Amino acid sequence: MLEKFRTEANRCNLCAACHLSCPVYDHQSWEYNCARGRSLLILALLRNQIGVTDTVLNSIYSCTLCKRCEVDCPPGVKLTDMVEAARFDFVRMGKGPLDIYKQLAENLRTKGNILGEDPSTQLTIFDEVNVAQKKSENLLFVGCMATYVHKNIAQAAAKILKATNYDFTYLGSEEICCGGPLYLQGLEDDFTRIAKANVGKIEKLRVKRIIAICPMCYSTFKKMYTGPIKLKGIEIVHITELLSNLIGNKELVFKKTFPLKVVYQDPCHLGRYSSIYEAPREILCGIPGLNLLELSENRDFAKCCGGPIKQVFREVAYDISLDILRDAKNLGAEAVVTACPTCYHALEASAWEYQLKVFGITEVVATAMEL
Amino acid sequence: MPTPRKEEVANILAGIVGEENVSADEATAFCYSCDSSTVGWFALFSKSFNFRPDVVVRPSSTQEVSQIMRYAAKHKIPVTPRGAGTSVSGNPLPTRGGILLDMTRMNHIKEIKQDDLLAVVEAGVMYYKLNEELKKIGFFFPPEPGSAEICTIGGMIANNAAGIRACKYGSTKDWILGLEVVLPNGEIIKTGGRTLKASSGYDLTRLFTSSEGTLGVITEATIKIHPLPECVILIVPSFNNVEDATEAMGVTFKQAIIPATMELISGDYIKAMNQILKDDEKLPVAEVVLLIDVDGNKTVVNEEIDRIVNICKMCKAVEVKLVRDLAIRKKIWHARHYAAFVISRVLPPPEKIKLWGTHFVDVGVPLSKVPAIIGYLKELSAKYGVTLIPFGHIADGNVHVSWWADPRDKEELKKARDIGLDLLRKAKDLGGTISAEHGIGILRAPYMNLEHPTTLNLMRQLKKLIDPDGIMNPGKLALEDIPEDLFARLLRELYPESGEA
Repeated sequence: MLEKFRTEANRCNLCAACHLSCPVYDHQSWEYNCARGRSLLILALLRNQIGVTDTVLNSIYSCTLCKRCEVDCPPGVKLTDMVEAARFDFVRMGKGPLDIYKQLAENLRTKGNILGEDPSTQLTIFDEVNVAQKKSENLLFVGCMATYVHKNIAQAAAKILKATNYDFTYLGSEEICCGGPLYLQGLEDDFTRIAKANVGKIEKLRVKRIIAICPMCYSTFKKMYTGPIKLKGIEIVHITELLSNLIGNKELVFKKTFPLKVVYQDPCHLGRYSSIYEAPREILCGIPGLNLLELSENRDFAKCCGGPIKQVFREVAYDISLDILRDAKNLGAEAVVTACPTCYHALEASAWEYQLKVFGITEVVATAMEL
Repeated sequence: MPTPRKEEVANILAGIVGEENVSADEATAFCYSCDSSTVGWFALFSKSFNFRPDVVVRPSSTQEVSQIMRYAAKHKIPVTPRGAGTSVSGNPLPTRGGILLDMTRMNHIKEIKQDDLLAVVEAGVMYYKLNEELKKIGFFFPPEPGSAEICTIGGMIANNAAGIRACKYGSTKDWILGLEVVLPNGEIIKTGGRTLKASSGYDLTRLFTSSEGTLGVITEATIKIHPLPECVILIVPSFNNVEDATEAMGVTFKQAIIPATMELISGDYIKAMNQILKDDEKLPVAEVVLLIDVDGNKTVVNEEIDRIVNICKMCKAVEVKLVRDLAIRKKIWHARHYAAFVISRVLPPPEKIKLWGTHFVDVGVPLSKVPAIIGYLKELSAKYGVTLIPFGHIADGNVHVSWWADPRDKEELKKARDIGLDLLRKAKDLGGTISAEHGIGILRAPYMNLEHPTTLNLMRQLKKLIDPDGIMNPGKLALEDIPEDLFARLLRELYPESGEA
């Protein structure tokens, strides 16, 4: 697969603009930890000038795939596509993924979620809105992190939809991972298997639309489910798009103030992957008392939370999350709001260092609706 | 004493800086075999070009650098210091393997002393981050090279980088008060001091500035800082030809106005910059534009702007735009800094531009000779049947030139070699320099004697005195011998039958 990117790798002009944009290089300034280094390694692999060494694996798997380098790259090199292709090839060569990600695939095979949690516990997250697999045009797709780790985010979403009389169903214990994490680790066969299973389950429900809570689920359904695994005739919507529309149509009304200065952190899969920047801001700006500040690097330029590499490059990921929190603190914010359960997970773990609160956007909305 | 194997070297260095800061992996070496120059790309077309280090090490203190140097000296292992690797002449590329010192972990701003108009920084501090800090107290470090957003202060000093503001603020060497340097034998010395002036013996600070890491490792610098100007406005006049633009420059100086910048942008570079600028930021579509920053006191700036606008109109400017919005101005300068790297968006075949000539030409001439060197480009374009595009910092006499050479085409390679040499000779004839700001590195080492026929020998003696075993960044500045022109070497290797070398 990497062979397809020979021309792309050649397009890197070696300027090193990515030194400034790569969140990993900012904390681990080995040359192989930036887009220039990664492009060079890919070129060297294609020319058989090097083998798949520890450095190569480190370089390719430490990339957060955040696409931030692509925003600034003068020749516009599509690094993320190349890194993904390298990961696909490493799997075929038996060199990848890293061991910890093999476990992730195993979890999916045995439990249907990346965390290896018991799927029957899913039934408990929406106790108050018991609508599992009822007939509806709208499927709320919860995602692994919001199902098993940060249930507060999923529960808030469900409460909001119920309170606004928005009809929906969800898969309950039948919901499995979207497969996005497998794709990003180059596990093509596992991804295809999961995607096919998802398409079967979802199409059987005869829904017209999927409302994704997690930005990665959203972009995976939208961009990775292609060809034979395309979800035919089903619209993919992120929860922030839906909530913004409900507010615009006056179907969602806030009842109390949320008097906090907050920053909104643009998740990579919602922002650079999907160009959804304004819907979350429209929601937050509509909440009485909430004072929305902008991080120094926002929208296209937003910094990755470090979450995608947290399992392997723990310290670097932690330091990256601190960059966002430090900026928020310096701006005078009291809390960080995000629309991504993975970002929430990464930021919440380090927020204590700056005495900041972290909220999922659905939590903020539900609170301001007095739910 | 036999040279230790790279694994042994890595083990010893790990004992100094920690295992996680040493790598002898071939892939790591490959990443450090390129900088932002065309030099590293030569290795992709010929196996005899190899700029890979044996071991990469990332020290975090001067003491660690000293220990590394002592070990290297004992075993006569070559050492190549490197900052961000943004050199466009191959300065930080190892020509004889050995140890590569990645200085980017030494990235602390140790002191900002506004009262003394100075700051003390480690070599690996990024220029951009230093200026972010200085901005908080209303100051800045004025030299601004094209790689300003990413380069390190140590690299700027070792290379005497300059960039867009040199006509008013000078180059890096004008802003260095003192240095901490680790000599090749591991000894730590301090040059200069914290005073704005000193008349006290040889100026060793200047000796190390621009030495390209051939005399020692710069670990810390005491630098002068300057108050940020109260006001800065960008003037963007466009012209139908380069002669009118250079005339405008000459008249500006004659009227005793020294703007902060005066950049000449032409041809495909205008198109390239416009690729990454939004509609309201784009440069006018013209043959030539100038980017003239006027800074200082608000009243003076406004007065000078009026005068420069009139001068441009008098010199047949087609249009004169004023950019007062600081955010737009910042984006235009960002695009200018990366213009040479954006160019591949408007010149598609990527393999072809890998051996571009852009960075080969960095000539500097006396200001009065700028029209002559630019005029000479037209002669050369006609002679070789190519389009030579001038751009650069004309207000300090520094002209860069671009063209593209396909290494798979013998004739293009020959032209690349010949055009480069003709331009260097012309600059020399005009009383200029073969490198105004990019440094000699590997790329221009073959031509050191052209510019320094009476002093190269003294430079070599100095090198021998300070680095008797020649371990510091070998293969640069022609301090050992005069190397072969890289284009000629590639030509000889790829086309041995041609006898062209």
